[in-house]
Amino acid sequence: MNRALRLSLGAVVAAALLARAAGAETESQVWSGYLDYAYVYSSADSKSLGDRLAGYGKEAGKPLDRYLADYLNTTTATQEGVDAENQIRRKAIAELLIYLWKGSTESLEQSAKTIRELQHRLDRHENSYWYHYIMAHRALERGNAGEFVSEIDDIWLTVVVPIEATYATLDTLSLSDAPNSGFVAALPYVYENIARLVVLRSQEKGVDRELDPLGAIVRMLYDNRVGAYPDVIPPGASSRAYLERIVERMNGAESDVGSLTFTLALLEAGKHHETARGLLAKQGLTDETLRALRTASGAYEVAFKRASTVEGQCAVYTRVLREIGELYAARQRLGVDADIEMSFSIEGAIGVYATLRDKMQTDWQTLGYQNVSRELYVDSMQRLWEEIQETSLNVGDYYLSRSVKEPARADEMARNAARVYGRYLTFFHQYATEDGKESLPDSAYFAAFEAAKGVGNALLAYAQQPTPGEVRIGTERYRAALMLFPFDRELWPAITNALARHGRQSEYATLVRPIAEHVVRSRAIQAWIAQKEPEADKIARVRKALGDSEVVLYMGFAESTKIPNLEAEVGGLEAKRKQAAKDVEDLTRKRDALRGKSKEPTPPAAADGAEDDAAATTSQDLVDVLQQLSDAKAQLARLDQQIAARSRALPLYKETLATDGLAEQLRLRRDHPVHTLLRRMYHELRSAAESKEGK
Amino acid sequence: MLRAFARVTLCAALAAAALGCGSKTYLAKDFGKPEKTAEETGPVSGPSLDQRRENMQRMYKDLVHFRTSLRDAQQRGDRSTVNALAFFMESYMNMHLDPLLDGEWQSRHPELWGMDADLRLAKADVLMRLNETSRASKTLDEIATRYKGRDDMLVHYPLGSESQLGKAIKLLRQGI
Repeated sequence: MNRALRLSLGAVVAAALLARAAGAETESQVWSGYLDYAYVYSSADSKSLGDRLAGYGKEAGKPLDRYLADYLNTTTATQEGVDAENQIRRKAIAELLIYLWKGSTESLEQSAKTIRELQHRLDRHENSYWYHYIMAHRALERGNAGEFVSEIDDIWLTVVVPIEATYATLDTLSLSDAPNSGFVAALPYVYENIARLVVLRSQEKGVDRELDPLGAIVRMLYDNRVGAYPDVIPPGASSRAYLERIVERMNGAESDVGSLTFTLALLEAGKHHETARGLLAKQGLTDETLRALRTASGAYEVAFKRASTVEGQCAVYTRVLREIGELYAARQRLGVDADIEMSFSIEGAIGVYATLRDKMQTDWQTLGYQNVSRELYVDSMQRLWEEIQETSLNVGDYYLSRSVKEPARADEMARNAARVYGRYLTFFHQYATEDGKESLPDSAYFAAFEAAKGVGNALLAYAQQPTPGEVRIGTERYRAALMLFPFDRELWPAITNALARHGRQSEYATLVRPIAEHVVRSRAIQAWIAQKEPEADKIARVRKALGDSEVVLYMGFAESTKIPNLEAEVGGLEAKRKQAAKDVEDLTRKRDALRGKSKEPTPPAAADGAEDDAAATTSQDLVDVLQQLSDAKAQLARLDQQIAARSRALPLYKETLATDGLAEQLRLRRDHPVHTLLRRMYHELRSAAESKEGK
Repeated sequence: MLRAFARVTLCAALAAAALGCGSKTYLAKDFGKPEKTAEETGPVSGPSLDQRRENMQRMYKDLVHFRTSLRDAQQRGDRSTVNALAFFMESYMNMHLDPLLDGEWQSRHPELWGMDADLRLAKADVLMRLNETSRASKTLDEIATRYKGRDDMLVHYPLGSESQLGKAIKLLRQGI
């Protein structure tokens, strides 16, 4: 062949090659690599995934969607064997990634169509993984829980279990990330991706039912699988912590006998609740906040529907009541009257509590607590109780604040408040019994005090025109409140004021004496003081003071702010006493003088009539002086009594200031140790009353 | 020339063989069909023994999780979950557990027989919970045969406690 011919042939071949290159794209090694390792990053959220794919696109010189259109879509049909298999899988992965990034369901459908071409090669773990992973996404997109469960089960049976043993061996030999280890090296990511798909993606896609068959897989993922390879997936990037919460919930009392569906629904509702709470703190009751609150409430409703046991219902109510309480507190604080339709109510929660309590002495396990201790069952009841009490108090307080803001509706709002507080009191008295007291938290007793005082305040301080019956009820509730917590000094004068409204101040001592006596004689208080429990010293001082009947009167009729006036009055009394003593002395002298005069002989120069007149005058003067002297002595004795009484009682009365602020502490800290004392005092009193009734 | 021809022929033959093998392997796998592992021919030691032990331990824990999930679903009266779990567990046992338990040697290996017995008891327990009483009974019969004369061996049954093998089998049979 001559040189010219060779050159011209060469030119033709080169032109042909160039033409081919222009017609069909060449494979990008960069994209092939990233698609083969897509299990590493495919679970990222759409934004992070988009950023990551954009970065890879820059590196490869072509974005993924263009690479898919220009190369993968055109070459997979023409290749054969392993190459074809790899290209088909890469194409399916690329389409899945675009779906995960952009949310385009068309890409997901295309991905499913593409990966089906590998149905005959599912014996290869990598193919099987991607096949079922894509199909699982498709099932979620279609809202088909059954299919989703089936796909996840398939990944477990055909990918996870078979490669686990090999991975463990390679890991032992530090070969798990060797290039030749193939898809086995993906195991930690496979665990992570399954976990995220089941516990996160399913919820994002609204598949919130029929996931319970995956409970076993979730437990297995948690058991030394997800999070077990921190050198491969750093703890911060792992879903381990969330998985831990889920499994703990499933195993604990805030569950529905281990139901995964319920647990995910309740956690999801909790997330919405957190969002709403954040918005409430940041923006107040704006439209956005209200939307978030409605979403949270809706999510709680979903969880409630998923609950098949009372255990589950209790778990939902314990959380949703918090939302209701927060809403009322915000409405009160912000003065915004925003309404949210909710299917939950305090009555509903009380109903759930009643069901829990009814079985307390029998087969409580059948309520859904088969797999937890009695202690946890009791703890669940106590937590539900706490939420009922807090929500009741919040709602009551809200109505009281409304009665101030809307004077025209003051009576209506005050009565609403009284009803809410009253309902808690009824609930309290029904269940705070000796045989079931363990189902109440310690704080229930102080809350009962707050509710009783709330009824009194609503009817006597906030209502503008209470009926005589309401005045009577309000007074009685004040007294009941004082029985529950006798260390609130505000209440003693509140009772006298209440009694004054129906002209019965004189009954004050009769009404409050039993309370003072209870404090003085209480074995619970005695033991508390003897064991030097918290606040024992202050309580001892109050107890000593209440042992003095005059202090009890001071408590009702004096105002603590006027203690200096009372002390000044003692000074005044002493001055008066000094004057009275002087008066007595002067009058004694005067009497003696008059008596001496009457005994002297009559002067001879005096006439008979004048003699008689003088004698009569002296005698009358003596009588007057004697009367004045008697009065002065009585006054002196009275002053002595007053000075003695006040000198003794005033310092004692001042001692009752010791427990000032205790109520506020108990209100702020539901775990304050003094709550325990109030519980003991209440049951001591109740059992004494019941045994008295029995006799 | 001959040499070149021979090379081409050999390549073609290899390719054909590869395709032939491939066509067998490429068959769609029947879901739930046992995936048998090779039976080791003799006592193993070192990494392979460790691997077997780890596999057995992992599967034992998996069975415990199955049992928990099944119990929970039964307690909730959730029949569809019970059925779905039953299908999954059956597949798991057929594909992975039974092939592992097929071997005789691990029941005789002093470092494995305890775990082997635990695993078989856990399997019987799960089968009982699945109402597969006949299979559970068969599994217990096999344990009794494999561990004949070793009734006093300590096993982890009931879960979370220890008892002698004979007593554990008796307890499970009483359940049946």
